Amino acid sequence: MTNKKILEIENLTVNFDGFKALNQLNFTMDAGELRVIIGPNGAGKTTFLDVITGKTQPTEGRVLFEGRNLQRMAEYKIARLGISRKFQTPRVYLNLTVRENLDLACNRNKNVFSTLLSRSSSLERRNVVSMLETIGLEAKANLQSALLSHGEKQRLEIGMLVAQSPDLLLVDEPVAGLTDEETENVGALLLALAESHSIIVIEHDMEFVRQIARQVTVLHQGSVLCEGTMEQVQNDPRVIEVYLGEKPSITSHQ
Amino acid sequence: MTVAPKSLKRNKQRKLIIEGVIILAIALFLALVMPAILPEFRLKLLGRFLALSIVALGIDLIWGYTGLLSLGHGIFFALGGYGLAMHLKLQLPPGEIPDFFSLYGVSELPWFWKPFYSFPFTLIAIILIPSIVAGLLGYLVFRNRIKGVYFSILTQAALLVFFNFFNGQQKLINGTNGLKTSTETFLGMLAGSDEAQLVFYEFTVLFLVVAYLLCRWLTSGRFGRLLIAIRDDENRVRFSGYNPTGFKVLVFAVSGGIAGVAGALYTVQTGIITPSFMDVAFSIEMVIWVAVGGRATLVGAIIGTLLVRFGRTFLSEQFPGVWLFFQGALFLIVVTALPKGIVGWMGEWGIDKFPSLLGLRKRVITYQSLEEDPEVQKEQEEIG
Repeated sequence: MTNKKILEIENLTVNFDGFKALNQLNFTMDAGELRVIIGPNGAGKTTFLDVITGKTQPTEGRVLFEGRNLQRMAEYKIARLGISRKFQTPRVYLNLTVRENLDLACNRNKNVFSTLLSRSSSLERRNVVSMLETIGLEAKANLQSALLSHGEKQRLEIGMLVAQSPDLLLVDEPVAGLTDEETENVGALLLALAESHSIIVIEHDMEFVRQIARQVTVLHQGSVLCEGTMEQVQNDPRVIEVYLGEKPSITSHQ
Repeated sequence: MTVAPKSLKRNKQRKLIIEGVIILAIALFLALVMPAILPEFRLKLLGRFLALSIVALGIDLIWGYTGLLSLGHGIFFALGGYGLAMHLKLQLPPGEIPDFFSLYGVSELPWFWKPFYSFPFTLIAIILIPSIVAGLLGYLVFRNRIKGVYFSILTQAALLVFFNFFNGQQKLINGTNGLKTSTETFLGMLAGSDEAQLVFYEFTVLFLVVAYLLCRWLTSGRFGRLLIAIRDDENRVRFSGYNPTGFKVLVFAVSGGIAGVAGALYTVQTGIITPSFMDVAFSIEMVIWVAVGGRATLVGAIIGTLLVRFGRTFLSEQFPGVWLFFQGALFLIVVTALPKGIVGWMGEWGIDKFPSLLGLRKRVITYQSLEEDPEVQKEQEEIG
């Protein structure tokens, strides 16, 4: 893996009418890294993804993806640059089959007229088939995705992200509401994908974080509280304080 | 696993062939048999209703598939109608202008009438002008990510603007009196005569088939699936790298063009076009046809239109005065009992249950959890 930075975020501030969802946040990530972001509710994790994907415009600061400034770019353009995002709740097209869901995601040319006039190439169809295998839904390929279980939908959505052949995957709480077995499946899937992609995972479930995490970043009140391996982060007194509130006294930085 | 199972492909082809044969049979029946067996009055009604079902197809495209409820299709419908009516009005000896102008002291033909002397221009304009108006309106609305109820309200507001404008412009298009076409000559025939009406009827059948095939083509394949994706989760589409605005503008423009053709065909078969074609209630009625027939089923749009319209004719002949109550009740019944419309209900419930109602059963499922499990089925297939 090269040490090229895939994502650099400088002094990012998002101000919602006086409430700073993100506050002077700095963050960098190497290409090929699997990074887990944790943090208590309201720490700004989802806003962080919103800014990267162009859903929210930052008040200050900038986001560089592979050296390119993403400011004022529309969501679909950012997606075409190679950032794909999974939402908290599984968002797949319920009225389409599993195969059709993947086919839409892996379409190489997403203009109006090429979507209308061109047929899916054999390369794209092969991609769809291999993606079906990766996410373990071959048998249900022609099933309407509304009929999938919650865990299968999560895997399908991750499959859709990867089918876009992105460089950076943003995954927001992939195991919320899953059974233990499904959680394991999703974890294994993410680890397999990390071989060839850079991934940011946002997660609450500490068991799951322990399963997949190499590098962990802790967000708190819109800024990075600390960064390091799971071990380091777990033993950091500031993290313990934020999560467990061991010292409920009001300190100067609050 | 093979890339595309051969049996699946063959199945698809067979289905397409069957569909084509059915369409052809229905079209030939409408075009050849109906004129022979129906009295002229009924045939004329059928022709008008078929024209209306063309606009229903357009609404199904934008509402049923793309999820945008347009309450302003009357605009595009009327624009198409006015286009053809203006051309008919200009079938005059050189130097003369349509007689209504003299009532308002207009002695020179307004500039925008002049291109309508040309028949080819009129044909293009009937499709293109509504498309352009729809495309422009759509672009302004969709670019700003206006959707849902706000889109519906905006289209209705636009409808009112057009309605009031056409109503007030006596000097340009005869205002509220509209343009009468039945007394004009068209291709050497009086437009109101039976021969001309038969020609219009045949063209209506032709354009209905063309519009159906166009919608069928647009809604099948990747483009159609993307429309459904936009309907179901537009943000997901955006984050997948598609720009929904372009797709929605194109579909809205196509839908407008289809409505324009329908309006032109309806106008010549009605014999007059007035701004009342842009009545709010009429545009809402168009939506009801699609809802009754079944959203996102193209056939449903046609069936719904014919059913509601013929129902209206029948009931207003039998019980004049109470038709509107029936129409309201019909809409209530469809919304509460058949949310997917008649065709949607048939597909979901009827096809499966009808045979068992008749005492025929296709297959007994012993262990549903096993026999309907795709994983088990796949294993079975692989084993042999």
